[in-house]
Amino acid sequence: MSTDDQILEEFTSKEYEHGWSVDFEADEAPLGINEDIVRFISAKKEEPQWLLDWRLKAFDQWKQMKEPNWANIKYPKIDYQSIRYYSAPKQDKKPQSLDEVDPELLKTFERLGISLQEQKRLTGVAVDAVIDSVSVATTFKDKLSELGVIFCSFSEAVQEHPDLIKKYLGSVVPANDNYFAALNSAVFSDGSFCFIPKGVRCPMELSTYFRINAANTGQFERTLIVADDDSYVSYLEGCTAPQRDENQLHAAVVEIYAAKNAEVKYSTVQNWYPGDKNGKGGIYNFVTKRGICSGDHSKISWTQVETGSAVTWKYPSCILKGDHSVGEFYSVAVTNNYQQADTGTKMVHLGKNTRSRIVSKGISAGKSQNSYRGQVEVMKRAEGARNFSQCDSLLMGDKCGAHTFPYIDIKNKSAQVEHEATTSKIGEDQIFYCQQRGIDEETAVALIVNGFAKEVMNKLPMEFAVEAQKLLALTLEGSVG
Amino acid sequence: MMMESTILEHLDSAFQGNAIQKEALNMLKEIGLPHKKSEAYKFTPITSILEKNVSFEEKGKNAIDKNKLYKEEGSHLVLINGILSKEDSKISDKLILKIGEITEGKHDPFSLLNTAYANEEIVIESGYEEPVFIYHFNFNGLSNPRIKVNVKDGHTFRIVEKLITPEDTNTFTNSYIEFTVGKNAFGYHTKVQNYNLATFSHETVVANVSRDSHFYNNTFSFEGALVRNNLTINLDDENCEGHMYGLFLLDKKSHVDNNTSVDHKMPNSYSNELYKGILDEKSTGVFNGKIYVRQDAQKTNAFQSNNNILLSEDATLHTKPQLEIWADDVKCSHGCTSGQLDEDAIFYLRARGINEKNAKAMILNAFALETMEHVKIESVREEIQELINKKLI
Repeated sequence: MSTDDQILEEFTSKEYEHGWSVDFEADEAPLGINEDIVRFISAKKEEPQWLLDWRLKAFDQWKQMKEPNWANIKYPKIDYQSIRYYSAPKQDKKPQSLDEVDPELLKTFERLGISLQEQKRLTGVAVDAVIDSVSVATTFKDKLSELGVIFCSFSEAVQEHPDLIKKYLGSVVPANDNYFAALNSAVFSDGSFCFIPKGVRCPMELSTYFRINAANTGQFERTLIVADDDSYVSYLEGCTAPQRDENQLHAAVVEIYAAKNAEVKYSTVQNWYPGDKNGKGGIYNFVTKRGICSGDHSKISWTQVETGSAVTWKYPSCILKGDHSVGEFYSVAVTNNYQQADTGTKMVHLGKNTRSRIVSKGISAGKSQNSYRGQVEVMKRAEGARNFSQCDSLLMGDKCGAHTFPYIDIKNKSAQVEHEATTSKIGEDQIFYCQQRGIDEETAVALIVNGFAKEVMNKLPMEFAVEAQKLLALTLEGSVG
Repeated sequence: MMMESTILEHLDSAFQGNAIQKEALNMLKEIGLPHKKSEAYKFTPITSILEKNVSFEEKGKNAIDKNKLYKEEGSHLVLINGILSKEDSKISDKLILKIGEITEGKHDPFSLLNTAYANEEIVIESGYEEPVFIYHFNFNGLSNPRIKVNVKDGHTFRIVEKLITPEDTNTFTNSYIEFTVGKNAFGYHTKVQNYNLATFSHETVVANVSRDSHFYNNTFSFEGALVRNNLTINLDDENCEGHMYGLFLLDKKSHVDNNTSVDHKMPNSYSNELYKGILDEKSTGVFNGKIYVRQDAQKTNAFQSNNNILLSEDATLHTKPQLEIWADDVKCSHGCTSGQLDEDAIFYLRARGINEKNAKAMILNAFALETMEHVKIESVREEIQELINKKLI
């Protein structure tokens, strides 16, 4: 109990904690998008010709695509010409060590609670931090490279490991996969790249931290994780943005490739600025995340805690291609005030005896809308496929909505698929029970919500679980009654 | 878009309705018929089928097969291509029946199509406890039968519907039936769909339920080239109940699409839905169930369940149980499963000397039986049981 008290106390009267911005000199592209911008970004990154061509092709395809409108979200039309597609903290030359990194920048990270300094060694997390569009620092690189693990910024990987990038870029999410993926493919500025070689079990958790700092900027990062045969990696992603009145766009792409017997665990705590109480400002979060279990006995697991963003459009999915491969999706999505979330997953069973498990917990409060949209598809040759899905919604307040859109498409008779969903509110009797025992209403709600989300929280790595629990309480603050 | 306009143009020349029908036609032209990308018709390419079959001409007349009629007390209405045939019908004196001008209907594309091209509107007024059996004999390229049923306050009313079409020529039926259930009343509606592979149909059922009333729909589908059931229950007032039970037991190349929706508009209402599917050979089953709970509909209890068994490698199932909830003090749940027969259960029966075929039939029969609970008319029950047996053994 005391932890819950602490959490609430800590966050009482706090609004969005990460809502500050720092002025450092930034190297920016002019507003808007056209072929020149794509060339500009590519030139900035000193990219090889093939990558520029790939970007230009994606841009061409994007121009012909239409913004999708099937999701259960409403937002004003985005003017893609008023967004800045490239903004980098200005650096004279590439820093060789942390000492050379702009001190202002390091302060930023300290405020965020990620210190890139030594103390991180104690927690054993390797961090790659991406500000606005550029990866600024990666820690623990040397230690990882001893094992052959490659963990670096995307642009560095393009320079140093072009073969790997060429082989895997776009192999899971093709450039023309959807509108936002195409946009990302054309203008992505940086991101993280991670390669785990054969038989290596990555000794520490790898982590990326994203932050949008400059105004009018869109963030378009790309993460590519490749796990070779018999390897294992756990990957964390966190994000924040300053508090601004206008909406900002975030369109990222995450690709995961798991070879034979490989296992990838991907956890996200998404805490983009959600907008203020009246729904002003906030991040539009349009993200494409997909993993492929390419080899037999491989496993990909997505865990996400979504508390931020004004609008979320995100469906981390798994393509279960290898026989006996496993896909998992654990999600807690919390919406408050005017937030809208349309999130879920897609499990495509291609291989024999593939298994997938979906646990989605939606919590809506205030005037928010929370939708689960998922698809389980069992293809003809996916003999013995197994799926279990559960999506529960908790409603707090009479002006919010909870919706579920599960699609189940089965083309093989041996498939065993189950789906269940419930929607309810916190029972008065439950609150009464707590109050009777001297727990005030707000604490009682936090207690019940944490219990509701426990199943997913348990899947998070330790340090993330604590942060996520705090975030839950913070997001729902003031929504009782 | 091109394809739709050709259908509508073709239809345009055949138009001869009143002002309401004209308006419906104009609305239809505006919204257009659903195309391949339309979410609600994603798995059922009905417009392209309609295009091939669109004609009001009679495609060879079969004699009315009196054997298809139930031997049950009550009124028996025979409709031929959507027109009531008084000589073939047996109408009880107690039944109030009106045949008249077309009045307003629902505003989705196929309801509008029906409104625009229906030949007559049959209005059945209850006040009458005996069941009414409605037989649609359709021989046309396109027929639009249209029925409205008014269940008076405090009454119970049972309707059984059946469509009979020729096997040797393609027909398209676009039927529409609307129930208005008065206060403290009960409405039962049962449909038996045992068609053939030349039968294409789009069947709309709408029920508007008033305070303290219950409405039951039972739909049993056995065969059909392409059958789409659009069932909508509007729980318009407090303390209403809506019940939907369905079975689709398909083989050959049958394709049945059940699209149901229940709209909770006011507090304290209840809905329950159970659909079961058994798919064999190259059949396709689609289930799309939607529970809609509006902001005012506090204290709603809504439950939905869909269970399916696939028996063949070539069968396909699409299911989408959908919840849209805008009120907070509700209890809603849905569940859906798909699997194959339990090997252990079959083994258990076989170990007791029951051959494999019978063992399977037994298990499937038990699986299907649950959906029949609310069919109260004996001869209809018997017929459904017979059809199930025929398919399973």
